[in-house]
Amino acid sequence: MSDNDFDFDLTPVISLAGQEDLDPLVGYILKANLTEGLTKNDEYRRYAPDHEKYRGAIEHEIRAFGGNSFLNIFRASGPSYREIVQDVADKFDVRYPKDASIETLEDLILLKIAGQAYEKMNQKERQEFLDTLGVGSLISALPKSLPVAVVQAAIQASGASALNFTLIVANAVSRALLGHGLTFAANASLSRAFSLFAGPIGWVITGIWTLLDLAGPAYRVTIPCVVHIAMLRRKLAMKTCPKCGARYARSQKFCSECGQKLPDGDGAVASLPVKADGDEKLS
Amino acid sequence: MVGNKVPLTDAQRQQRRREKLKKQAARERFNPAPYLGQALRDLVLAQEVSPDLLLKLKQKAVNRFASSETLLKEGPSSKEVLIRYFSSLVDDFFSKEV
Repeated sequence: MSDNDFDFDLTPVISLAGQEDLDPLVGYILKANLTEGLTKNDEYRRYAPDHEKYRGAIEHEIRAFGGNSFLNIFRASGPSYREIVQDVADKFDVRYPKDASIETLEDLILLKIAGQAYEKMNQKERQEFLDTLGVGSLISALPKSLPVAVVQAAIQASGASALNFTLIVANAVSRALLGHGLTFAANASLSRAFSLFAGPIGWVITGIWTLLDLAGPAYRVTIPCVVHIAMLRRKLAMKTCPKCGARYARSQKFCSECGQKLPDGDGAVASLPVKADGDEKLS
Repeated sequence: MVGNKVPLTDAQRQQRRREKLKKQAARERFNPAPYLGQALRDLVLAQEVSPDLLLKLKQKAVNRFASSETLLKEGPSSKEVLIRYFSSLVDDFFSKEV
């Protein structure tokens, strides 16, 4: 892939993702059958199913699908990933500020899906859902609709909550569309959340799919890809506990699973806050 | 006193449109290559590369990237992923060059 194809919001995520991370993306693309171009790509033909060897083709394909609804003929490649996410947000009638970061856009889309799924849950599931996101104790009476502002504040405040939230939604989408959940080392409570909420979120996705049959087949690729990439962005931003393998955010001093004192980080990234030879600090 | 407005010619209008699109494209597609270029210059100037110096150069390149305007409005996860990505690019670059 040339430098010109570098997409600020997509390329880093695809470049750092592993085989298991890329697998659902390839699954969503291949499900598009006749309209996809991935299986015609030389690198794919040569290396499939070793997804890490044709990351560029996967990225290109996602952007090409995004371009179906954007008059792609006037562009050298597909639209920017940000435009694709905005397009999906518009599809879900999500309101967002023009200068919102890509994370905020992704959060709002996932919150919209979760909000619709929340309405399909029973009382017990609602309470567990809020508890899983770490906001159950903040709300005195169980609301009938998802308290979006509270959940958004919680996932913005904690990297672990954000990852859990995106994992639950991405896992449910994968189960609904690919027939299997994500491959991810989850603790007991997260595994329970996976199976508990797969149903309600899956129903929402299945309902949307019926509408998309009429509205635009490209969304059948872009919507699940946007959900999955939102999860990958959170996952890749986390680090792994050297003792138990649990994910933790950079700000954590101790592992929330095993209590292990966590290292500051590795190599150059760890030393970012340190001023080096007149360079500016990370703001 | 305000003079008469001169209407733009088609060529001027097209030129303005091209400039606008160019700026938009630059905003949408960030190119990390100049940062790598600077890292290379630092490496060449250093002449001798020890593991400590290599780490220092890597820190310098990543810090420069992290403080760039392009990262200022990003959320924490995006920032973290971009920095990690850039760090891996610098690693690859140095492993090939050194």
